[in-house]
Amino acid sequence: MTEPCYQTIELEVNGEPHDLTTPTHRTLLDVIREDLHLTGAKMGCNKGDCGCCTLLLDGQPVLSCLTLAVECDGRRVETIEGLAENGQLHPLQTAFLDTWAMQCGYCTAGMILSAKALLERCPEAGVEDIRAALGSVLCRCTGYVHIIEAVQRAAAAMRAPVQV
Amino acid sequence: MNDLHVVGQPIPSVDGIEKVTGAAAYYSDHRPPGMLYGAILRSPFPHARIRGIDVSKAKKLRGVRAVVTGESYAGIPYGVFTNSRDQFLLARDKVRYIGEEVAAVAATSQDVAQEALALISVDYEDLPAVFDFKKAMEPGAPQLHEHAPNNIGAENNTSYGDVDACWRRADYRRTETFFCEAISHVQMEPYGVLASYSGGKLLIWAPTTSPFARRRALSNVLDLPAQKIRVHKVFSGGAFGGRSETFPADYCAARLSIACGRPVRITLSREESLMMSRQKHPMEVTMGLALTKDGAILAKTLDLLADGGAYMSTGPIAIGWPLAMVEIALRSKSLRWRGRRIYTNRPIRGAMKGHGGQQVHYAESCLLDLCAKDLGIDPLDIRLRNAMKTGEEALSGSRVVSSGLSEALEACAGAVNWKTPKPSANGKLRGRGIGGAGMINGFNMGFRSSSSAYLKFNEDASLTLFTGAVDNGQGNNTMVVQVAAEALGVPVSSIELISADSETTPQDPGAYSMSATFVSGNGVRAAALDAREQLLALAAERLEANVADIEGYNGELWVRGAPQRRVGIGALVRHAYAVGRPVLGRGSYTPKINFNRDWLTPGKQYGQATGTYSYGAVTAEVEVDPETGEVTVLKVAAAQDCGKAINPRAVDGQVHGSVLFGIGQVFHEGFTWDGGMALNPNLLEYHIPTIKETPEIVSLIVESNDPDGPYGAKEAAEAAGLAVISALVNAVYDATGVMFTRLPISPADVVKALEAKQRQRRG
Ligand code: FES
Ligand code: FES
Repeated sequence: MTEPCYQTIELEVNGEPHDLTTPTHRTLLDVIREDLHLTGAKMGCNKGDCGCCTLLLDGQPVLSCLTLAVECDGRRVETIEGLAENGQLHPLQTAFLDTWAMQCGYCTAGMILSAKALLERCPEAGVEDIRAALGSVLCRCTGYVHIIEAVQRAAAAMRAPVQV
Repeated sequence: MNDLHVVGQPIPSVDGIEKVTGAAAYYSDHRPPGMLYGAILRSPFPHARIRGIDVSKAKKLRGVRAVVTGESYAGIPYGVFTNSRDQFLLARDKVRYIGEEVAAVAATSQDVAQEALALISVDYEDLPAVFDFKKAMEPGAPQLHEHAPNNIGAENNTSYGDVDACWRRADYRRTETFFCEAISHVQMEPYGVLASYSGGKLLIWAPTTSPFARRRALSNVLDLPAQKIRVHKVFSGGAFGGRSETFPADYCAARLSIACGRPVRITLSREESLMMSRQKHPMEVTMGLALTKDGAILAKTLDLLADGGAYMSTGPIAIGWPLAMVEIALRSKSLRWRGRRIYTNRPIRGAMKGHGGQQVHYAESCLLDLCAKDLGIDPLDIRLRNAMKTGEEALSGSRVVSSGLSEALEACAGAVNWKTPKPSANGKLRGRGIGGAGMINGFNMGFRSSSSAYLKFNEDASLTLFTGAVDNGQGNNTMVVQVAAEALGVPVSSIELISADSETTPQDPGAYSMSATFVSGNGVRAAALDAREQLLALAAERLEANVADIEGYNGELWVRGAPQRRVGIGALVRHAYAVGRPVLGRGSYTPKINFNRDWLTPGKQYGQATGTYSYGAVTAEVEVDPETGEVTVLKVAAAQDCGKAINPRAVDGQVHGSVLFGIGQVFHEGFTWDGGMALNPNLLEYHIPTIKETPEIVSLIVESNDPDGPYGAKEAAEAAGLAVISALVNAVYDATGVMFTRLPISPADVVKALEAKQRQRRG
């Protein structure tokens, strides 16, 4: 076997810096799951077809199975594990929970992270925006109806003035 | 049924927090220390003899810890039934389809494992293969298995009533042939398994529909006693029938772990998962209907040919059990059934959503629309005319315990204003369709037909509930917790659920055959009522009252009419421990099935088939573009008779999922083939519906309050899931005047059919 080349990179993951040495051919998905043990990101195809592996890179959704870890050197990664703050669920997490927007849960991380990027970019997102933004994440269980409802609910909650 | 506190509430799912935070651990999220990565070498031939396998080079590769082949196979061949054990989980002498497992390796990384596979050399003798299930039955066709002449692996013949007399007497008869292509479950989680053998004990983590069936099969194929195998509960990324069996990957991971004493995880690629776990049976159904001129069904005749692929899997079920669904929705005076399952050199076909029921329902419900058209009867009316009602007996003597079929038909028709004219559509063709179906809720699985549960109260009034019930995403965990909370009168938050673990939880049928709510739910309810009785007795002593006068919920009990005389469950539980009477509930439920009903032997297919039946009806509105052939599904209204919705939101979600599954099956999904090889084994070319294809879906819950269901509940979406198929196809028929008798229906098929119709009209 040809020995792989290694490279040392710096990743900010969920607000924490990590120095990692990894073979250059490894994907962001593998490094996040296998090295950092953040297993909320899921492998559904390893080919860019399903969206289960979606992570946020500098706030933008990426298919982490198609992204080399070394491409992310010096960049900011968000995973599903980083969404809750001080034990408080993110409004998207609450909305997914309350509406039963997940059944088996395998697509959920990809859905929520894609929706987060959408709502940060476009707080007023309507149904068509939601369909467009979540179109690259497949779900076999829910028929997507509750997912659309959850994102709408979360959008409303995030727009509402913060209660003190 | 009044005064329910928890049942009927749309509470969030009890394991939802883990799912939205990423904490839910699926099999692939477990990584015990020292874990190795496994990979499987597969046959490139559809049919070949294995002359020899040389693994010496692979063994020498740095990082490889174990290599196994069929030579390691010590147990009996795998099979779902004792008389259908036709598959070695690692090929021994022959391979029978492209992708069959030939060898497996375990190594320190995935890369090394893959490299090792390339170093294994296999000496194959190519054999003639057969891919067409009809040719496979012809004389002289290549034979797959010695025990199955003409490749007919299973056959089921039966009839009820005087079919010939009914056929002659009818005013109208029609026979048509329908075909469904092979499709895949496409669980978003590709299949995989983690096995760890040490100290004589094998631990398994894998998505499964039944940890007990899995343990049993592993015990057989590995020749290990059952108690030396533990199948753990894991979160499961979807099942849809496709996690029911024991797979070669299970065997390989276990065998590798036994060989090297380290945990081994095997993750199938998406392609492997699509082709080499299970597919839905492609099926040709030739169906005849004989009716009176006012639309009463006198006779049904069915001839099923199922392409089973290389091994038997659940084949006998696929060609036998749809009978139990077809006899129970639309009544008939007589019925003749012939089912044959054929071996071919294609991937193995097994259970999936309705298990043959969909293919048969498609034929029946679409043929019925053709008949209705000729007879000048509205498709809704002809269904209402024949819909089975509560208390009726089917031809086999199986009784409809509760039926909401008529109500479901009315409800979904109402949701699309069925009797009003269709809106016009600007050059496009508009259509409406309807279907209605019935579904079994569990069936005769021998000793595995019943479900047991137990529970123990803790000193702070919380409790731990143990049930074998499995949740692959359907919401069964929440269902059993709501049932237990209701029966015990305790808050949902006080219940800790331990489930689906072959070692710590009691026997359960598993999450197939639509039995979870009806059978497992009842088992849990029985255990909860047992504990409740103990609590009531303790409270009566404490409050110096009669047991019959104690009532209460939300963790407290009091004397009826004197609520100031009350006691908390925590105090009772602590007292019970102190006096050596700990509150331990146990219970079990066996559905009232006729266990002599034998569904393979002619003449013996009589008696109660299942504990109860659920029903569903669906209407669909579509728009067809005659230029492009594109079909847009505008609206689907799906009504499910689930007896009682234990959690209405969970039921709605199941219904939505079934609707999209149906849209996929009717318009998109299906493998295309070059001999034994699929040309589209990936999610780009095998298209499952995306969020963009979600139409307006109206989920309608019909509650027939089953007398035996837990709080009246039954299965919650599979009946509607059948009806979606025919509602969609019938809607396209209504729009175009063409009945499509092959699934899936592509835009090209639509254009071609419309052109043919035009030519006919001109010619
Ligand atoms: S795993 Fe499917 S797109 Fe990345
Ligand atoms: S919830 Fe199962 S794939 Fe989306």
